[in-house]
Formats: sequence, C-alpha cells, structure tokens
Amino acid sequence: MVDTTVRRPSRLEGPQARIFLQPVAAPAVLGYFALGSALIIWGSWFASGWGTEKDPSSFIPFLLLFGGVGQLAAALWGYRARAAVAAALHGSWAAFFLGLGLIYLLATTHTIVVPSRGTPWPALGQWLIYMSVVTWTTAFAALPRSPVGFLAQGTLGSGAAIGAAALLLGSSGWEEVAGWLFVAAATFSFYVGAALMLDTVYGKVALPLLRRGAADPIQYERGDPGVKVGQ
Amino acid sequence: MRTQERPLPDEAELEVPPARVFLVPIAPPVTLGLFGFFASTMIVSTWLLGWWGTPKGSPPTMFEIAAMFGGVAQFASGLWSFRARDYIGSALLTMWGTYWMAWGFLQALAANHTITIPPLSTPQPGFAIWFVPLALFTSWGAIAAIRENVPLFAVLSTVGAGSAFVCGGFWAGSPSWIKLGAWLFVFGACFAWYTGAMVLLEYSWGRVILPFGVIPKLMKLPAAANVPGARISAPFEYALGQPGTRHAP
Repeated sequence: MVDTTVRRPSRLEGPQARIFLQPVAAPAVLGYFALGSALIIWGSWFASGWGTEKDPSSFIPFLLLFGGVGQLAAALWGYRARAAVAAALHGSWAAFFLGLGLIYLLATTHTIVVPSRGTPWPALGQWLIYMSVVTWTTAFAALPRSPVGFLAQGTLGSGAAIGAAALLLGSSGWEEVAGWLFVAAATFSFYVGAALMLDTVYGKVALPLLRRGAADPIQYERGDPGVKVGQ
Repeated sequence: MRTQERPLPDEAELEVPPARVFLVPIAPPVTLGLFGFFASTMIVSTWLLGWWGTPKGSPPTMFEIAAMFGGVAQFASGLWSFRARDYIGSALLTMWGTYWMAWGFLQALAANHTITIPPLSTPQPGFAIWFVPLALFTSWGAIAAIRENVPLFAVLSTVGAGSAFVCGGFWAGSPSWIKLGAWLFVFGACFAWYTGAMVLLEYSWGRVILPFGVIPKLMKLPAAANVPGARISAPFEYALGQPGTRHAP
C-alpha cells in the first residue's frame, strides 16, 4: 500500500490528509469472463449456429445473472480498481444483457411477443446502434493500455453495428455475420480475462497482452487475505 | 450501597485521537451514467420523433434495456459519484437513473395490460407531472455546471429545457410540444455521450483527447483542458501494482 501526504490547499489548520491506494484483484477478469460467456451463448444462437426460437427460454437465467449481474458486479468493482474502461464497458453490457434477459423472460411468460430470427426487430436493432457507439468509445479508451482489450472491444463494437443493421433490415445473413463476430469477441474476451488472471497468479507474463511492464504487487506474504495477494 | 463518584476529567487534559482525512482515488463514475443516459434517451426520443418503429409496436421490446442501462447502471454510477465527491453526478445521475427505472416499470405494467398508455395526443397529466421535478433539478444542475465545463452545461440545460417542453406536451396532449422536447433530448443525449467520452478518454490516455470546453476564469479547470494532448491530471500510481494502486485496464 502506498500513501502520500497531501498539502492542504487551505491556510486553515486541520487534520492531515493522505491519499490511500488500496489494491484489489482486477475486476476485468470477472467482467471479461462474464461478457465472453454471455456473448458465446447468445452470439452463436443469434447466428443460427444452433437451437430453435424457443431456446432463449432456457438460457435466460444465464444471460440475466452471468452476463447481467456478474458483469455489473465487475463494473462496480471497476471504480475501486480505478479501471474506467472496465466500469464503462462491463456496466454497459451488463445493462444490455439484463434488459435482453428480461425481454426473453417476458416473451417466455407470453407477456410480450419477440420477433423471430431473420425478421426485422427495430427496437433491438436501435439498441445495438448505441451499444456499438459506446463500445467503440471504450475500445478507443483502452487502446494505450490494453491493445488486446481494444481488439476484443473493437470486434464487439463491429458485431453490434452489423447486428443493428441485420435487425433493422431483417437480414438473416447479416445476423449470422454479427453472431459470429460476437463469438469472436467472446474468444478475445476470454483471452484477456485469462491473461489478466494468469499474470498475477504466476507473477509473470503468461499470456501476452501487448502492454509494457509486469506486475510486482506490494504484499506481506504471511498476512491475511488483502495484505497478501490471494487467500 | 453508595457508589463512589468519579471526578469529571478536565477536557483539556483528555488526549484527542489524531484525525486523518483519507482520499481514495477511484475511476470516474460519470462515464457509465452518461452512456446509459445517452443510449436510453436517444432510443426513446428518436422513437417519439417517429424516426423508427411504430407507436404501439416498439415499446414492449424497448423498455427493458432502457430500465437497465438508463436506470440501474446510471443509478449505480450516481451512487459511486458520492465517493467521487461529485455533487452534480451524485444527485442527477441517481435521479435520472430512478426516472428510467420508473419509466420501465410503467411500460412493464402496460405490457402486462395492467394499465393502458394513451396516444401522445391525449392529455396525460399523471405522466406530465413527472417532468416538473425533472426539469427543476436538471436546471439547477445546469446552473452548477457553469463552474465545470461547457459540454456538461449543454447536457443539463438542453435536458432541463426538454423536460419542460415534454411536461407541457403531455399535460396538454400536444404532440408538437412533445416532439420539440424530444429534439432537445436528442441534443442532450449527444452532449452526454461527448461528456462521458471526454472524461473517459482523458482518464485512460492521461491527456486531453476531446476538448473540455473550459471558459477560463469562469470554470475550475485550466484553459489547457481545451487543448488536445495537454496533460491536466497527475494521478498517484504505483506502476507495477495491482488495480487500485494504479490506473487499470
């Protein structure tokens, strides 16, 4: 833990201020794993790679809880981890999968009707436009520190843009392209999540992330969890 | 039994424990909140303007993500804004987050046929009244944002004005006023994306990428914040540490 004494800007005498830097495990590991898991299931189904129109009723809970709640937890821990990209990216896609899960849940209970694959679905197409804008913004933000993260997010942003066009036009061909791009983004996401985890666990670069420097965390190895790295 | 009274200590002789102020850096929460606001506001406003969809056919599959992205995600970023010591963000992101959750709740009741939402040309004072407090606190936020930066002021002033027009439109059953408000919301949403991206890129790149739109002497940031490439922050970091001790991916 590093703390730095800060000069008070005021002339008034008062309590001394210190900046406390508290290390946490990288929330991006959970975030990328949750994002990749949701994308690989929904993307491959969206691409008509498997299943029927009724299958979303089986994978709703996974989309809602893993793609939604799991990613949201990662996003909120991203603030403590000072990971602005992780917070924005995973928070946005957590909300998307929570909402998509709710859509399929309401369709399963016959409250609403969801268009089948290959037919126009303007509302979801519109959503994917804005998800693409947000994802390309976070991708550009990730570029200087995480080139592989940029690759994952760029692929995801492209998939969202093509998915938007596919749903607005009702084109099953473009849906296939978008779905497999989501699967590709999932693959890159798993890679980034695994690399971040293995880097810290092994104490060296296990899977290259094309960024400079290796981690050397401050710890007291005989201390409790939090004081040492791990449990 | 009589208890022995202890003499009161002289307060001046008491040893006071030293107080410390801990400043804990976090990632800027405003980005996620503004992205949620941007996406949800764009999708509903463009639908109100008739750019896509049908009046009755679209909301049933539109409100869920709005309630989550504009609602839950924006609300959460508003709560984290307390840790960021951000008065505008903590109040307004949280309030707009609750609005989107409430709007989603209303649409869910309609989807379930529990209530019926009338067309825009029918007066709806029960919904119009929502926008009175929204217009008021957003406009107060705009006044506060005059000390921050032009893009944030643009977000809050257009959205505050848009809320007033939408309020009048729903109250009177006037689609024209609603559409005027929706146009202001579209501009506000675009400014929200710009503001969120501006903060995120400066934080991630460590230098200004999108200009902050600072009016010197009126606003808190230095004029350098308007120059792409300028460094306006110097975060405390242990470069080899775990996330939390440095900016993380």
